[in-house]
Amino acid sequence: MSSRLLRFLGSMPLAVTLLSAVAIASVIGTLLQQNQPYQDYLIKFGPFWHQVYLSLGLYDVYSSLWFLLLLAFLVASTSVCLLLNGPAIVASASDYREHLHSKILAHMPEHQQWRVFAPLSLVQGQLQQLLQQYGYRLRSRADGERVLIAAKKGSANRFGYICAHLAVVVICIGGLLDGNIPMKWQSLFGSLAIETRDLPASQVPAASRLDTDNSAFRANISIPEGSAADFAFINVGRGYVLQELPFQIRLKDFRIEHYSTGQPKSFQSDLVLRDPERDTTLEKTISVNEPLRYRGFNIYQASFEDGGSKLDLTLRPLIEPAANPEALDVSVRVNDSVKVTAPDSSELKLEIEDFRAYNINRTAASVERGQDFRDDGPSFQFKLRRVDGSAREYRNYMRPVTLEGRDYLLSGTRGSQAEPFRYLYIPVDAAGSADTFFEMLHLLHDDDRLAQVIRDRAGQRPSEDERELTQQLTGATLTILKLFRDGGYGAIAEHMDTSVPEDQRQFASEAYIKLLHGGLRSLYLEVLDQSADSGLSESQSLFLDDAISALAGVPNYGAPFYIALNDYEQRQASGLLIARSPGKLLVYPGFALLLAGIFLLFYIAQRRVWIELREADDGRVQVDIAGESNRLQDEFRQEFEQLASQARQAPEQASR
Amino acid sequence: MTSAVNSLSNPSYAGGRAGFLAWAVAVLAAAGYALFSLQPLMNGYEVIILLLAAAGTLWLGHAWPSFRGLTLAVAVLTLVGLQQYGDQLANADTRFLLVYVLASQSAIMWMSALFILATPTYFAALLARSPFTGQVASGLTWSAVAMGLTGLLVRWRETYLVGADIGYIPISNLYEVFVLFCLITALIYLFYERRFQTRALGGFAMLVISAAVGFLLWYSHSRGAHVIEPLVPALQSYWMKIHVPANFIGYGCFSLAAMIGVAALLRYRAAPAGRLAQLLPEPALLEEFMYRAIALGFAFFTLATILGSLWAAEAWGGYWSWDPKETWALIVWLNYAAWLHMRMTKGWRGPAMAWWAIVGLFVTLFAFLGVNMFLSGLHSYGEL
Ligand code: HEM
Repeated sequence: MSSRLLRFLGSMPLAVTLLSAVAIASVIGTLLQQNQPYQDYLIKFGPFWHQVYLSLGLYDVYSSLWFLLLLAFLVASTSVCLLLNGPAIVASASDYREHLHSKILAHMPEHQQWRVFAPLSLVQGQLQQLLQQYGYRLRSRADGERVLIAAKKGSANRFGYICAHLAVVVICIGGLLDGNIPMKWQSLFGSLAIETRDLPASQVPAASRLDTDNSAFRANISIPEGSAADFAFINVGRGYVLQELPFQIRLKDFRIEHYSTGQPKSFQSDLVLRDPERDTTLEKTISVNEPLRYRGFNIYQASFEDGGSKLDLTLRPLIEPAANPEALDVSVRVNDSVKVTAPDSSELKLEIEDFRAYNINRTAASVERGQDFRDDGPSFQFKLRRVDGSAREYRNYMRPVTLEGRDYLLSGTRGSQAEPFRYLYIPVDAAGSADTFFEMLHLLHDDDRLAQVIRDRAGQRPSEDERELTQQLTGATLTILKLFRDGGYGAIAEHMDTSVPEDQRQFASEAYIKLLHGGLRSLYLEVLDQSADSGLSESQSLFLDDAISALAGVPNYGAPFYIALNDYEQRQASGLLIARSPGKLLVYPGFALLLAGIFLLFYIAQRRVWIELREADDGRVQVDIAGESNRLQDEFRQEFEQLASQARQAPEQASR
Repeated sequence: MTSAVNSLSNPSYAGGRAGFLAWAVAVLAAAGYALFSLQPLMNGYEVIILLLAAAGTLWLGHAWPSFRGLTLAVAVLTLVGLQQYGDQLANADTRFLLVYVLASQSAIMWMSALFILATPTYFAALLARSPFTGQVASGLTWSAVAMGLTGLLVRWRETYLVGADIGYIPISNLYEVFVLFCLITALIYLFYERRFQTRALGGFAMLVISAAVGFLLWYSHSRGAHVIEPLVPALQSYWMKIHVPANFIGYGCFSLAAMIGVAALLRYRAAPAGRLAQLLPEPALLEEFMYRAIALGFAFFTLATILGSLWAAEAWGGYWSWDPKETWALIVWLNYAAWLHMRMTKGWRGPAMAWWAIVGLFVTLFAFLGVNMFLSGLHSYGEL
């Protein structure tokens, strides 16, 4: 019974089935993106299939129970195969087969026969010497009137089988030791609790901590410049556990170096490792391909992020700017937030999410040459959260960005992370500041001054008798400007839909746009303090066009201010991966064994040659030579023929 | 067959023993010079890699006389290329020899053209049973390899001319490894062409190389892939120099095996006395060829995967992370392990094994290209 089970486990059909099953499971694990938020899966597959996939463990195939079982079966099958075949293979490899029956020789893949005039013992000695010259080891047996020389070489081929298959077993066991099985076990049956809350390290409860004895893990920690940590986090499913370390790591400095072409060239962290147990301190700079190894722990440069840079910001009102023209200065750190009051007195929370000192972009021209790059300068990302909890996200650049020869302050906004940023392009005036734009904005929002400007500038042109028409036109202009101010082009279109008959809309819309642009041009001239007839230079008209586009975007921008970055103090954080994998001690020798085994299996052939000598009736000695090889048959045939022809000549030379 | 085997074991026919020795001395001198003059650019591992590469070259040249001729031709072409460049990348646009022949892109264009020409030539030789045409086809293939190899070596220098801190071994991006793929596949084919003394399979082998050349041309024209870009930090490692070539020997062998599989399928279907049966080699030879290609590929692919795993341990902190590229390497490996078992233990031969080798090519292709195109992971170097 048990032998039948063993034979099944070690059978080739099962082995090939298992190999295929592991391959197919692996395919699934790569086609279905692993370890994503469940929300994403739910949206992608719908509630039914989501539940099915979840219970099959398809979202984390490689650590699911069935996959581990599959691997365990493969290990079992290979081990059993080795147990069943190994001893026989070793035995047959060391067996010279010197008892072979004469009749079999004639049926060997290679066989030749001849007779020679010479004493048998002389022939035997010469042929044995010849075989040894060819690298064969041999054993001879005299049996009545015949002598059989049995020779073999390349028996290492048979040990190749043992090496290669033992290696598979050893590697898998080493890998399983380093895998998360022990932790899985503890969290299923032991006291380990997976923490899912976002807690500071000091508050993680004891049940979710692993002490320094844990011998195999991969954990991550992000350390800001100037800070230190003696723990790291292991991600488990959708939570984490805290791994305590027997030493403390301090990050002195993190650097990114760039190539002359602008791409990142290296990421480096200057670490100071302090080990109280051994009373040692160690300083080392690590980078992507150069980890720090210490006491079986390996510390890798894995990522980087902002570690709490300090940003000096100015909030310039975009709504009700006329009533509150004052800009507000705040200073806040990345990952921190401040409460701010909007011009309409609503409370908002400004949450700074990220800061980048460089924004390196490659232009179409730079790709051609492989050379030039453009640094758009520092940018930062933030959220403005209202009291009701809803928030929009923004990304602002510190310096004006040049597009088609004109400069803009860029501010991107989006409602959720799934959307791309949509940008507001605030035009920068000849002096390099956004003041002109903001003055126009203020003027547009100041009803009294707005009316006056439009009236004054309209009054300069028409003659006396057109006064009534002029009044109508300024009235209309003001209405349209206010619609535009509060709702952009959309508001004008909506107004037209409700107040203009359908067949006149085409005509009306052209008129509206003309009035709008005329009005905005007046505002711009007022800000420039120029008279109407002086006209606009080319760059001024381009600026006006840009200002109009930007003003049209303001009502949908969603924030009561534009936030400018004046200055910053950068502080980076380095993401370290800390790993301990004792399984290496099995896996690496396993690799060597595997390579050795495969080489022996493919490129060393086990070759056997038998020579039978027999006194023939005619007084001569009959030589029967036969051979076989388990691999590389062509090469063997060639060697055999050479050997045989030399064997034929040898006794003749001797007898001459 | 016997004569084929004889010439294989008898390395003295081209150039003789003295020829080999002179060549070996030249190889050692070149390696010594590189060791001496490039010392400041190399770390200890790279010195070891250089020495291993020299030893490998000597071994190949010993077993394969034609390979010596190739190394000499490539050495001369490369030296001329380097001399033409001096230390000015801009010479690529002005010097005649660089513009038309020796700048990496021009040399690679020559390689592409020669490979594409070799394909119909091999088929013509097969159909017309013309040994002379066959020799021409082999000559074209050797020339293509020489030009491609020169292109890569000159490009190595070009990367340093772009910027001293940028220089890297030009097997680091998809464009470069496609060139490497063409070269290695062609060399493996040429080795077996001599080993099995038949040019009947050249056309089949060149088909897969031509397909790669087609991709290469498209990729460089539509995507500007030939531009030399600095390496992301994750790729700046001496592991690159051994992991990638080992991988491509594997890929090359598997591709070759699949093309032999195509020839074998045609042969199995051929009427016993028909023309096709006359033209194509015996099934036994095709099966042996396919087995040897897969065995060689499997050995190198194992080595490559192990090297990759060791590299990952050093760069990412784990020798196995179930990253899609790693996982697909495992799938490819398991596939050919199963193939080898069926042949060795069950004695499988015939159409099923040929089909399996062809399917294997698609699995390999996905591991090589598909993963980069369709799946994300550490190998796409998105983050660091
Ligand atoms: C991932 C797992 C395995 C790998 C990588 C592997 C690898 C290999 C290789 C490379 C060969 C040599 C084939 C050749 O010479 O062409 C071989 C042969 C063989 N394998 Fe496996 N093997 C594995 C699992 C197994 C299992 C589970 C069994 C048990 C059923 C098995 C039984 C054999 C046998 C009987 C041979 C033939 C040995 C001989 O007579 O030369 N292998 N294996």
